[in-house]
Amino acid sequence: MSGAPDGPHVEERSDVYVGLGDWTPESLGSGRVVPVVAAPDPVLSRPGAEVDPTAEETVRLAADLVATMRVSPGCVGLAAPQVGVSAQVFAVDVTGHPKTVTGHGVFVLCNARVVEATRWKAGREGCMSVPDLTGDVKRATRLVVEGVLPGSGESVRLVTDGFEARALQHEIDHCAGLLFLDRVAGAHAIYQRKVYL
Amino acid sequence: MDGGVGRRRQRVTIGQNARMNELAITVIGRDRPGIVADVAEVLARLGANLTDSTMTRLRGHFAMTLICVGPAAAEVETALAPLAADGQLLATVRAVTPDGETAPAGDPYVMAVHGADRMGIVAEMTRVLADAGGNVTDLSTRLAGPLYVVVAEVELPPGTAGELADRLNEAAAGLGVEVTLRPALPDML
Repeated sequence: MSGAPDGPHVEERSDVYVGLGDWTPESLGSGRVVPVVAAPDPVLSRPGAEVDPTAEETVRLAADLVATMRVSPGCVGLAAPQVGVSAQVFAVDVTGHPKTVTGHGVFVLCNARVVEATRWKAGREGCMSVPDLTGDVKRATRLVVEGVLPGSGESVRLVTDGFEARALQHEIDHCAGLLFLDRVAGAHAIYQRKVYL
Repeated sequence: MDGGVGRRRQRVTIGQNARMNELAITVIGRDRPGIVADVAEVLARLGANLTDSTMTRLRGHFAMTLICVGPAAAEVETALAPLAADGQLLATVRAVTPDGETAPAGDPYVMAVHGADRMGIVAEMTRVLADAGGNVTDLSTRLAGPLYVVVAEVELPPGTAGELADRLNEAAAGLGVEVTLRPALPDML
């Protein structure tokens, strides 16, 4: 178990597990499929509150995010503000995506932050909460993220790259009240979305 | 016209009752700070809702194209006339029919062409795209010294990219330019 009393900010690396350890999404119990909100809903532009990762409501929210992500076609990540909850919790699952190099399977992080970001690369991305537009956004392709697992309250450090790195940065942005629109590369870098899954 | 709240509300009501017009507006001319603000202000005052727009500088000339929904074309043209009064800007307003059913989207690709400038690069390369059923949805061309650059967003009929790339390469070789065709599928996150 992590020694971090309140979870959010992990200062000592020796307290932080690298990888997810034996955490599984099943430990959250079953979640409900909840509606996903779209911009310009103001909840998407508000920085989410830090959460208590061991609180029952956080675990329930985490389970709902996983359940909703699983039923949404092509969805590889979902953050709490996208289901109308202004909180720093998100789910990610890039398993099976053709661009995935490193993947950690299905997981949820609370109060996550980027601690290292390198090798920035532009790529075109879209978002369930901005259904009709896509945009070119620069993201780090090598990434180290720290956060806390819901339920167990363990602090973890994830080292990843490529597509999972992009997904993590996109979800951490959501938790900070930012959309990909806030990071588009320029005035001619947003596009009408052409293909719907 | 002060564009006050009461006035604006009244205008919108009038517009809705009178049928909303979709207008295509172009503003082209000598660039200076404030053209976008001036145009947008005129439109807002008229209760014309600016929807999609694009603006850039083409060889230093201000060039803006926009679609707005609101009052009659003549009314907008009159309101924009003072902007063009000094002869430095040209503003045109045309009523357009709102898009009906759009064709099914193809696969999104980006074609990039660069090489020594010569006559007919855009004509020839986009003809190859068109002959393959490709639809250009965004296009930029730039002449920078002797270098000519074309970047086009294009929707292609599914499964045609490979063969099209070969034909683009042939055309590019004939023109002495380089071409790349790459998928522009977004990552949905």
